Amino acid sequence: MSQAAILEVVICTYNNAAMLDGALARLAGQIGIENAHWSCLVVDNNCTDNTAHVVQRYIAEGKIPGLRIVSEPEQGLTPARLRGVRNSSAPWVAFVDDDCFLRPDWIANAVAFATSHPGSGAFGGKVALDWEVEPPSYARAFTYCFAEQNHGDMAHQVPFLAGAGLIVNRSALTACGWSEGPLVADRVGKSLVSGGDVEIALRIAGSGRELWYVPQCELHHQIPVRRTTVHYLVAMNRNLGISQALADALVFEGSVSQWFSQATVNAAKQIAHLPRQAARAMRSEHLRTAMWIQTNFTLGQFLGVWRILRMSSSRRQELLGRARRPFNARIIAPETSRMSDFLPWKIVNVELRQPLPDLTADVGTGGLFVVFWCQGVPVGQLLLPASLLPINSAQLAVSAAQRVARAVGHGLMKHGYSAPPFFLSATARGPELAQVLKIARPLESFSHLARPDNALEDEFTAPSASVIICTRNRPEALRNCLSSLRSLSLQPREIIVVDNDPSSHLTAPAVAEFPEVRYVPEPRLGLSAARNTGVRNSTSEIIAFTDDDVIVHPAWIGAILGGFEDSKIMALTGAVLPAELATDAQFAFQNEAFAWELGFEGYEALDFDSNFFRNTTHLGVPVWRMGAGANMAFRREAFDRVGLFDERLGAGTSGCSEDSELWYRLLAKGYQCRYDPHAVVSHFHRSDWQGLSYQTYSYMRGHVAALLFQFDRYKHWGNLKRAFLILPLYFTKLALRALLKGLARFLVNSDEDQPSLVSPLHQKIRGMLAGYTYYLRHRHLPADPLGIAASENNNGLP
Amino acid sequence: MTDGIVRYSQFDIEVTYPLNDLILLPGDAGAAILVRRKGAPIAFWMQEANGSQRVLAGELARKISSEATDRILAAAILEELMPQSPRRPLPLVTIAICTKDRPAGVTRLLSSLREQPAGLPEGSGGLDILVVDNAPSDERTRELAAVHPGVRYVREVRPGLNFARNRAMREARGEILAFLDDDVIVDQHWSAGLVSAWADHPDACAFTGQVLPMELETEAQIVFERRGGFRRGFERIRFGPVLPGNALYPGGAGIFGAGANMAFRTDLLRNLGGFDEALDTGAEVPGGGDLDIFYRVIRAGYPLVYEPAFMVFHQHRRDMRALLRQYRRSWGLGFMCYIRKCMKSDPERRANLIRLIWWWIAYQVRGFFKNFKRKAQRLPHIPLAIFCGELWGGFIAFFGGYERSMRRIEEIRRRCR
Repeated sequence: MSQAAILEVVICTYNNAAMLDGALARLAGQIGIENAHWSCLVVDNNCTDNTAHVVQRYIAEGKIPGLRIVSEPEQGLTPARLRGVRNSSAPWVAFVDDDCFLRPDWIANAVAFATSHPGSGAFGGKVALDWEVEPPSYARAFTYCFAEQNHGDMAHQVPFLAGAGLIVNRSALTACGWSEGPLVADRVGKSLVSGGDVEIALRIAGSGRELWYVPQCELHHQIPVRRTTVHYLVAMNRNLGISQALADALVFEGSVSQWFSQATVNAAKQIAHLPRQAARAMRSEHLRTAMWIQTNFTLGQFLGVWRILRMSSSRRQELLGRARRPFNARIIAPETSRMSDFLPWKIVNVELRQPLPDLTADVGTGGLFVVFWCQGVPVGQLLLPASLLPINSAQLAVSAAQRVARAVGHGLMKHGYSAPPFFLSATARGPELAQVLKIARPLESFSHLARPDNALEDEFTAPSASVIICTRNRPEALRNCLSSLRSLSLQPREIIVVDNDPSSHLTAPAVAEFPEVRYVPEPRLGLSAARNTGVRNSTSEIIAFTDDDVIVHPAWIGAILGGFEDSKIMALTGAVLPAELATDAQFAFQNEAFAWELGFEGYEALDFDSNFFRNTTHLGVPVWRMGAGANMAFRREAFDRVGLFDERLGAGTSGCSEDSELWYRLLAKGYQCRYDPHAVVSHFHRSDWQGLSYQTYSYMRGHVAALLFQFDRYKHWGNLKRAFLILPLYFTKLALRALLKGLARFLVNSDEDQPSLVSPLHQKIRGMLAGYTYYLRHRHLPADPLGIAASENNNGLP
Repeated sequence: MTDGIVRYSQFDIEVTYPLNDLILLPGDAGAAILVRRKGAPIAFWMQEANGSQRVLAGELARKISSEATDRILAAAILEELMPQSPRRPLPLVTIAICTKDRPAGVTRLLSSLREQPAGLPEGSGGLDILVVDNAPSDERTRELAAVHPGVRYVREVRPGLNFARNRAMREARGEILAFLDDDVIVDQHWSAGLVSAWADHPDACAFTGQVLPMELETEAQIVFERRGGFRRGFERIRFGPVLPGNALYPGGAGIFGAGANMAFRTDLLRNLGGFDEALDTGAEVPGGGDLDIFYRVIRAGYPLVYEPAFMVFHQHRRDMRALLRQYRRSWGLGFMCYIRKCMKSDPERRANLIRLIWWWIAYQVRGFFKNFKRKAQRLPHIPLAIFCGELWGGFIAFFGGYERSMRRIEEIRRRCR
């Protein structure tokens, strides 16, 4: 071997010479390895059979480069692997078991991937099972016991990898600390205590390195007859249960007591599951066996928890959360930990003033999210799951007409049309039928309403606009956002980027690429602080805010300025459409969380005035329904009249609601606000579930905190009523419903364990409680520590 | 409800013409109002008279605008999007009228069908009317068919609606096979509705349509219509393999429409094996056949289109006892037989169908408790017997109802060979 190997295949074996012979034969028969430098190390774990002879034969044959054998006296797969790692020096180590038969191009593919992805932490391939004899039916349900792994035919990142055929990056192994001290004992000889391979993958992922699934590295796991007996499966599952408990502890985030309460809850859940399974198992012998094996898995989990409880506290501390993902890694990694078969949805824009298209589904899309536009104004949406596609233009026309009628009618008849959302009902007035019937060509009339952009530009009196973007360490997203601002048909006077974490030096270089953009640092943490700094540094009459994870539409500024032509309007919000629906978290956010927040689909303009305020004060004015901070604008005058954003509120501090709290103050003073769908931005929703779940929590915390601060300021009892009565009751109702649903599912014995896409209720409840305490802790702090707008001490309505 | 006077006058209003006051007949309990725009139905509601003999035009306009503004606008938008509605010619349509001892109903339906061919686009294949006389006790229907030119007559001796429907399927000459019950009359735009659904959905296997009441004269008819009747809304729906937001789909009772008014592509219907003769068989199991065929159409992967303009008017049971029997037998028993059958033939959806049964029970219970709300709104209440009857029918059928029916039709087949 002229060059140092880049891949070391480590085969740990214990008294399995016949099988090892087969595995080495597959290694000797590798093809396409002319340019690959690799070697092989067999770790003899106290074998008493003729293992050494077998290996010597292959060494003599010389077909496997650098084949050698070392022995490890300490019994167990983990010590053997550790020995293999220590006795080799290649940058990549492949753990292959003695019963794994590699595909002939395995080495070539592995080396190719390792070379092209030097930064990844570990990768593994497809693991197929070779049954020695046709397995009994119950064994088919437990292929996970044999490390079967098949995530499709595309290489992609995964949250976890099986131990068989795992190829790890030595640097990652060192960085995560495994080579210094594995925490979980692995299989000891044939006694099967498992979990070591689980630990390797988890800890590498926990150190922030990527795990990849590379299907080309395919191997066949040999399953002898003895491994398909009920007895073996029972023992195997019990041990897998133990590993599961240990692995859960490894990735757990939180203190020991939190872990213990979590484990108790899990145990209770598992036990609650048993009767249902038992009921199902009554049906057949096959199910009874499966149930028995399954139960042993649960039992193993209990044993694992018990084992952790018995550990010394220092060792437990060491174990717990050892593979926890670092905060940043979680934000960056788009891969969700939920294994889901969600397919990304495609967003399709359909302009109704042009001939309609036929819609078809591309392979691999979950469906189409169709947004209907009329002359650049969004007027409606339609969700088409892929199974309902294709549809032709005539069918699309029927759906489109049904979907856009409300928004078009609303635009044409201003506020005389149909019942507005319930929270505006006091101003509701049905339209005149004669007027409705007079509209012959609704879309054409509607498109005449759409303001041409340049109409404003020419006007001498057109107000100037500043765009403020507050950002925190997301340079890529910010670049996209700033590029989209360049394509605005009407340019604002200035664009200000407020960096809420200047010390990271991530944002400044990105902003420097856009010479027209002004960079303002604001080290005080909190979106409100950043927004206030932006306002103080701006010069225009109209101040528009957007976020860094947003793409603005070309007519955005024009539409905002158009909306402010009405001099009564102090604040304006606009439509926020999804920029992508690539993950289930984004999809759930768009269709459940977002729709819930707004209470309507958001294609109709709405005016929020003192009437609205008066009619809803007793329930806590639903100001949050006005829109989102990702697309809002204010007159500068508004800040002079009611002050700046409350710095105790908002992302980074309470969680959210700094925008709605300011609207609350405006409405309380008798000013008018408007939701105007002419101003459109597209927003990239959170793509991962943890992110969404955290967002649910912090939204609720911010919301409740804002209610309490609003009460503080104005003594409007409706806020308290909402915080302490309406919300708790609502959550109780939801909890009861969830309970009933669970009960029904239990009774019906349905196999559908589809998790709800609604963000977990307990996050909302936690958020609500955290909101109370947030208020108590922060109520003495000033709303605006820099104290520029001190004029806002008088309370009550004007 | 006051001393037996329960009649609701029916009004058919074209919204593009000037509205007039509606004048009720003396003693009418209320008005049932159907609103159309350029012939296409857009709204239907029943309203109480509340002592007044008149529905004023202004009040009517307000009610229409609150009920149907969206649909009026949607129709205008659709005209704008698709200026010339596609006039794809309709192939030959066989209209099968399955009847048993109801010549008056058949005569009424035939005369309502007489005007239909005028509405068909250029190049259409026309209508082929087929009367299937199902185990008649006399010759009246045969004589009646003989005096109507262009009406074919066949006799199916085995008693049972689905025997008759399958006979019609075998006898059909048209590319489309439409089924009409003998207790309906077709709307003047019935065929136009079929033409437009057919033109827009060339891949659809089945079409269903709106079914409105022909008359609301007795308590039984009003109770039935109040409970939802056969109405399925005024928006066209294309049913595919999934229905977003409905986990029980495609099992749900009657979401697709009713067997009183449905049409199929004849070849696809034959491929599906026609109707299940153990459902919709005579007095024993007089329901479930339409649910079953719709379910199979959807599960076979074909689209099904509900078109409101494809509309008929149905004469509901006049007599309360007949209505109760219908609830118990047609809906309770027939529905549950259909569910039990699907559970056997479609094990993949078993869990789903079991959930549907729970939903159905909850639906009955909820329906009963809605009575309290009705009382508050001063609407007539719906007798408890209806819910109990339906539940009881379902209960009986749950335990082997479908198997009993299978044995029964075997017996019929043997007897009538």
